[in-house]
Amino acid sequence: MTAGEVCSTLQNRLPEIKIELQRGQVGDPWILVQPADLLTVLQILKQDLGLNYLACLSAIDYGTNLGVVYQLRSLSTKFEIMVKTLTSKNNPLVPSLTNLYPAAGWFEREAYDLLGVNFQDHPDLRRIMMPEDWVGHPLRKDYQPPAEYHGIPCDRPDTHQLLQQLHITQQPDKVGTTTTSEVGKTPAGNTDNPGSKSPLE
Amino acid sequence: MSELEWAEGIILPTKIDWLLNWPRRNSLWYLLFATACCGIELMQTGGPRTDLDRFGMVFRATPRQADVLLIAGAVTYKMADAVRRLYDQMPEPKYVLAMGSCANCGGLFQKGYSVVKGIDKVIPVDMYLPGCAPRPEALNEALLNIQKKIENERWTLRKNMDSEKLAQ
Repeated sequence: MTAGEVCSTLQNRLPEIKIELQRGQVGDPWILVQPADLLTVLQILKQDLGLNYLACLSAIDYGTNLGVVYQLRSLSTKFEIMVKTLTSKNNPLVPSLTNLYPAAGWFEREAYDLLGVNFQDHPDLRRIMMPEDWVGHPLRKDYQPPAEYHGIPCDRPDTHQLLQQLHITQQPDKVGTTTTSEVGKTPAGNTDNPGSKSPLE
Repeated sequence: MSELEWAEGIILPTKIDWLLNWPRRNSLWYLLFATACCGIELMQTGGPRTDLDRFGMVFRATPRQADVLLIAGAVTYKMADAVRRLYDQMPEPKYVLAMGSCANCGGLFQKGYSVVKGIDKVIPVDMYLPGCAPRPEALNEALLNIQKKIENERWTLRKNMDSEKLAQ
């Protein structure tokens, strides 16, 4: 069985539902379904085609849309297939698979935590990795980290800028011969700069 | 011992600071706590090859009996609350060793969304140990440096020491 055969089987069974077979530049093809039809399609895949194992559930930020990817596998025939669905980023609503595949529970919590996909009818949809009171979904492309969390600053000085400053004041050929005007360029806080010592010390 | 034979069992001339610091630095119990792969090096350091036991350093499974908190590995914001709580549960005087790049500054993960950019933003740190991960020999030396730090503490001037610690 190939992904194309699965797709045509599904289309024959469900003629009123839009099911697409898509193909990337590399890798296996996948079946794209609308979120509203997801449960119907996956029910057939699980019960009639024997894809009884949800190997992975992940989510992607495509910019304007969010995608959810289901990797299904048959434990008896070792056949694998990928199912994708697209939802809008502003109101990402996707039906939960927890009734069909109980393993989806924590996968969906992860996708909710990191990308903010809302899974309808999930029994316990809360964050799984980030703290409960975290704001935002970190793996979204437009995510901005907070300034602080519980009093811990989250920002960090630009490392490249710091290195450049150090490079200016600590050039190897100037060590030991630095004049007072160059000492003034030393960044604040870096008072133990070896370049500022006189050679006699 | 020969010069002390005259006073055997009667008197031992010493300094109060030395007397108080000597048992403390030779029984540095560290908390059995690690957050990432530096913990593997910590286990190796406690093992028979590096053998921290010979310096009186043994691990304790509760912060209430620990003197040293080893931050071995990256700490996430979610874990930072727990780390602060462990630190608060340790009795004074207590010492913190930031082990490895992640504990020092976030290390490899410093641009990530979840890792604290240095444990010194959460709790005061006494000693920074660079490395990714530091070898057991390096950790051993860092702990010996904490012993040296304890050796130089002046309990008779405790008031000044507290103000120094507050200024950190």
